[in-house]
Amino acid sequence: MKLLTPLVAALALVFTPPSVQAVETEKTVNMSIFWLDGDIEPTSGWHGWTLTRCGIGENLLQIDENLDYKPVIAESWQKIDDLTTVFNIRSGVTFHNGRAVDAQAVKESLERAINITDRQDVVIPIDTISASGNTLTIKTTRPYATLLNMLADTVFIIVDAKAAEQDPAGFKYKPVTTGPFQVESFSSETGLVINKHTGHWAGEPQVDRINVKYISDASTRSMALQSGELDFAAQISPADLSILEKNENLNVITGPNLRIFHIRTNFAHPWMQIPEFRQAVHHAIHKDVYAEKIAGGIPARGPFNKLLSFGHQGDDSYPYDQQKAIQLLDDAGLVDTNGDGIRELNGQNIVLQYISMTNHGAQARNIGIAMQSELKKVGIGMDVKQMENFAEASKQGKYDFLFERWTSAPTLDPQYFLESSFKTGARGNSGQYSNPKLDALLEQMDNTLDGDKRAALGAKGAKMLMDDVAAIFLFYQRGNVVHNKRISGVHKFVSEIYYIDERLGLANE
Amino acid sequence: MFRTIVKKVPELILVMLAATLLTFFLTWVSPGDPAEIYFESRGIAPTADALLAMQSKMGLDQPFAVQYWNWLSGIVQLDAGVSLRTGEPVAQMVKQRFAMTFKLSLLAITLMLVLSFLLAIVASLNEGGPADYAIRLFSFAGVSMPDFWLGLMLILNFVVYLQWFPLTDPYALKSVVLPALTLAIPLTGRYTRQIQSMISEEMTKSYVVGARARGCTEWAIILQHVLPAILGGLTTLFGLSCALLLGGTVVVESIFSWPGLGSMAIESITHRDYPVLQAYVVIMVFIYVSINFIADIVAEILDPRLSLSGGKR
Repeated sequence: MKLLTPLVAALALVFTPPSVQAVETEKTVNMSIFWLDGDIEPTSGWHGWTLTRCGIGENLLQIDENLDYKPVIAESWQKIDDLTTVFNIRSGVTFHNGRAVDAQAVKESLERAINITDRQDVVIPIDTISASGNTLTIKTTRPYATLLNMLADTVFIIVDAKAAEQDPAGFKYKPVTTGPFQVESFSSETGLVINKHTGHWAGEPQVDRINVKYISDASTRSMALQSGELDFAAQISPADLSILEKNENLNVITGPNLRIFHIRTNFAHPWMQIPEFRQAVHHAIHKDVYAEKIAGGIPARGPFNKLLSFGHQGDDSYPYDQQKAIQLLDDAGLVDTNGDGIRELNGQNIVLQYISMTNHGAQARNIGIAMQSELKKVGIGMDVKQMENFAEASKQGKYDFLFERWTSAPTLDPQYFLESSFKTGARGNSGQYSNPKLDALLEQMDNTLDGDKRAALGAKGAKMLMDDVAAIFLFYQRGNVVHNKRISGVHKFVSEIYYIDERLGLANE
Repeated sequence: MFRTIVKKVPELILVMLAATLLTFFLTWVSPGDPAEIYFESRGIAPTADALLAMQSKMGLDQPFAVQYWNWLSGIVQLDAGVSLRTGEPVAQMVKQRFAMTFKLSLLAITLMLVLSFLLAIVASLNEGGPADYAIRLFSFAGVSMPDFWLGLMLILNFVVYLQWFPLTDPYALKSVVLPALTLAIPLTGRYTRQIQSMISEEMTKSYVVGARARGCTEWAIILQHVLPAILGGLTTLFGLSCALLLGGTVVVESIFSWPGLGSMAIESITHRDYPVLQAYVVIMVFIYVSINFIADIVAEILDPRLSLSGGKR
């Protein structure tokens, strides 16, 4: 008996059902997400993306599948003057716990987010927020062009601040929000189980329950779609898409998203400070082939996708031209004097360091290998490294080229990416790029309220980066969502901040 | 046996202590500030004040010896700190992940033992016959097959085409079958060959000839006489296999999205989640040291001559 007790306890531990289990009902949908953090407190980091992707959290306004603003908790809004915007809160909105959402509740939610968020990039210069009935008035301390963009950020998902205050520890795993689905259980290892919010302002959702499974491996998501275990998944690898397209039970929707993959240049190294050298490197590589054949993406012409009003619409400034690359290098005096096939600068062989991170996958490494081969043809050496911790290498500047991935306009405004990635001294600017003209343009953008003018400035800033070869903008990701035909109401959002919403339904009902 | 236990326990504790010191030291000297990593893993650019506050909260402003002592005291009390990635207590994470790895390992080991003993006996009884050759072929194939390929083939056939098993719900009872088979098949290949050669060697010994002369059947000779004689020799190998499986089988866990220790280790490396990584290394050392210790004791019980010779053959 003494021996049996620990044995039984051990077996009980092993076979005890976990906190999150797949539950099946007729109106259950199984979907997967490919990224999940330790909790889903929307004011922390990028956790709110999980809430918007699964139809749990809603903002005052959101960005729809056509990249337009969509009224959500706010039914409408109006700019009174340069500093004041008035929002009309939709009637009949309730939190998941049944509490009515009025302007006061929204005010509490926004103030909570502003006070506790750990993100520095969403600081809004708020003067006052006042609430009266269903009217919410936000005043800023200075003209602030991107107020609407910011309020669409997932940090500002409308939550029941009182519920959060009562149980902060529980709230981060089970936030009380307003979306068509509410969290039943959360596990950072396996995902979420969410139920319909019967009191949702757009009507009771058709689907009772969604098992949101956290599956980081793209092949597993693809195979689970084929076996019918998943009804919905996104970010399927391009190699698997052709197989899924042939499956008559599945719908494959593809299209560009807002992610730009680029190679950051380290301006601290002497050869990188020579403009002709940077241009030559750009001319020497078959960028479009990498984009299409290696990464399955869309060749980039600048940091912003041309879907955006500030996206570059023209041709590649530095098309593949090996002879031109050689000419540029020769003209810059970068020649091979010792006959080893590698050009030198001040007697030192030019051997570049290309770094990508392991979780950027094989495509990042393969692009490096392809570049290595092409650069060798014009007399430039390159080492290709893939590492786990490139943050440290990046910080120490031990690279020439750094493979990076950014969502370049998550809230449809160009300033965020240009400022956080290329402004002199910006934290994301590890390559130490510095262009006083770009810095001045960003200052100007700060004081520009008109949307068209901002777009023009954004396009101008992007062109400065291309002219300078501040980075090699490789490709825009071709996003995809795949769903089983048993479900309906699935839309592909270019922003990929949203996957499902109140329109999700069952096709035959 | 008692003498062995008394001798080995202090050694075990010393090895564990040395491993904790080395683990902590290597993490301490590795590049990257854990406080900065904490923010980076959340996609946050911290202010200088926030960074300083986090460094102080994590005790990173203390000297190495103090940091090590605090960490070790926590480990002894089963408190390995908090994950930088998820914010969860590491002990809780490890408990859940270990339970999953244990379930997987238990089934894999059981399958491996049943299959390898059965196949080895059948092959021994049919030496030179078709069954022997078929089993040899299976053994060679099992040993040669990369586990990731085997896993993918099993998924393709049994999940995608036949749809017999789920892939995305690791807690469903049936989910454990395919990953356990992926682990068990290569091990079975190795053990079948090992057991078969040990049985063949024993079968030439005089006590077997005597048993045959007494009219015992071949099955009875193997089950009653030969198997007990070879178990002692298999103990160490078996212990190492158990330790290997309990350490988390990284590739298999990744392919099957199995939330065990192996995938936890990979995640913590990717996110530079040092508290989890440190706990993982300590657990690994503990598992290896303990299983070796248990294997030594079991070997002595099965073969008392080991005790008489001071633990040496």
